[in-house]
Order: sequence, then C-alpha cells, then structure tokens
Amino acid sequence: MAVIDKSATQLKRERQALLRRAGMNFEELQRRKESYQLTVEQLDLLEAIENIDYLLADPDGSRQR
Amino acid sequence: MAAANDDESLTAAAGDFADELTGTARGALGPDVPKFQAVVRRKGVRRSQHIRVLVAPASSEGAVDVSPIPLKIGEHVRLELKVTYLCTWDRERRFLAVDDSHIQVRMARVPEPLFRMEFLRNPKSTHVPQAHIQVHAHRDELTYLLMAGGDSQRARRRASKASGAEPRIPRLQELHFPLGGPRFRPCLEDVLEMLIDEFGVDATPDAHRFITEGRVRWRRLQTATVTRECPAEAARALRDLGYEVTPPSSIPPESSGRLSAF
Repeated sequence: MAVIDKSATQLKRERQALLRRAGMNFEELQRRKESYQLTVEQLDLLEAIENIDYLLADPDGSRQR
Repeated sequence: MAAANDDESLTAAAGDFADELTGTARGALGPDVPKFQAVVRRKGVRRSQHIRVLVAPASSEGAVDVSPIPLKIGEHVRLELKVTYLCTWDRERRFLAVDDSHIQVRMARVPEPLFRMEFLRNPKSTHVPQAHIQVHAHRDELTYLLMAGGDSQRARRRASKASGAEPRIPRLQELHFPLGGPRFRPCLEDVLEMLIDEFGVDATPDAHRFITEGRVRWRRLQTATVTRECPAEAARALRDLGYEVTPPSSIPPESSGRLSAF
C-alpha cells in the first residue's frame, strides 16, 4: 500500500527546500501565479508547497509555516 | 471510500484509494503513469485533530510533489494531467472524505492549464460552486459580460477591479461552471475517457474496461453516501422496488445542506 508517513518537522524542512528551488518566497510565488508569471516548474513547486500547508494545517484551517 | 474508525484505518483507506487510482490510470494509459501515493502527517497530530492526507502521483517514493501524468498522442507527450486529492475525515469521523480535489489538463510544459475540474468541500466563497470546471480560453463576449458588472457580489467585484487604478481585465477562467455539487460531480475516470475519446490520447487496449470499473466504484460510493444523507428518499425508492424497509428507532436526520449545496 502506498502510504508515506511524514512528521511536521520533515514537512517543514521539505517546504523550505521547495522554496529554495523556486528561488522566491511563498507570497511572491502566489503573486506571480495570479498574473500568470510562473514557469511550469515554479507552478508545480507552489502547488507542492500548498499541499504541504494543507497537511500542516490545524483543524481550524489555520496554516503552520 | 471504506469506513474508517480510527486514524490507522483512515490512512489505510487513503492508501487503498491511491492504489485504486494507480490501477485505473495505469490500466487506461499504460505502465509509465507515476504511482499515486498517500502522504499523511500523523506524528505530532493531537488525538482530537483530524489527520489530513494528500493523495497524488509523486515523482519519486516519499516525495510530496505532484508529478504530472504525461499524456501521449501518437507516442509523443502532448498533454499533462495533474491530479491531487486532499483528504480527511468526514463529519462523523467514519469515512475518508475528499476536502479538495484538483484535476487539470495542460499542454506539456506549459504552465497555464487548458481546463481544470475542482471540488472544494469548503470553498472560500459561497458563490463558488463546490464542484466546478474552469476553462482557460478567451471569448470577447464573455469578457464583456464579466466586465459589465451585474447585481451580484462577484460581478460587482470584477467590475470594480476592471475599472480600478490598476485595471484587471477578467478572464474566462474566472467563471466556475457548476458540476453537480459534492455528490454528483464527475470523477477522474470521466476526464480520462474524455481525453482518450476527444483528443485521441494514447490508451491501452483495456482502457475503457479500467475506466468503466473505476467509474462504477466511484458511483457506488457516491450512491452509498447519498443514501446516508437522504435515507427517507432511499427508503421510499426501495419500497417502490418491493423491498421491505424498517426505519431504525432513531431516524437519522436528512443532510439537507449536501442536497442543496451549489
């Protein structure tokens, strides 16, 4: 079965690594996404970061960073 | 999705879901489709919290990225399919439920999708349908309508942005075409079949069998969910068919919110 267990620490570390690969911070990635200024690689990195944020979120929906 | 009474079985249900998606996608498109996996954060989650699971095809085992599924036409990769399911418990903590699902199709290595089908269990705006499709294209008449600013919150906001100090021209993809709400929305198999039939995406000889089997699984699950949400209607339909249906001592309330959801 294809289940991968991650700790919050691992996810935060991977989030940082994804941001480094994208070469800009999360807010800048989002801003550029809105204006269609991301490359396909940056867009995929942003989506991966947003998925990590979902996994890190508290039940009330607030996101940990 | 199977009933799950604790976090362990919820995770197992997510793993089964990932395996089913891999089976359907590889059965339809071939063995090169990346494997779907369920990524879960269990450690450090308090017992009272809902665990959350990402189900998506990954570039490598353990990665949290979402690998695009390459779609070939005439043996050349022309399109990419991106599929993501964000899952958690349902409200009764009995079943794996999809919080968000994103299915998008784009030209290979082109960032802007051609179209995307999404399901948002809790959309940020009540004016956005939970299940919807957004088409990334251009049509002058629709741009005009989007800028005309009728008497709705979204229309007023768009018109205001279009006439602001830094005008923002609305685009067709800002329209959310509804797709049947949380229960009657299309599934991944519908998109796969459309891509194969409309664009001639390369498929396996057994593609339609895998797609049909997956679609039947999906619709059976949705049928069971609708039955739980609308038991009186289910009982009436069964009685019409000649079944004897005895209600339990405490009749579960009807989930009218799901039935009426946009």
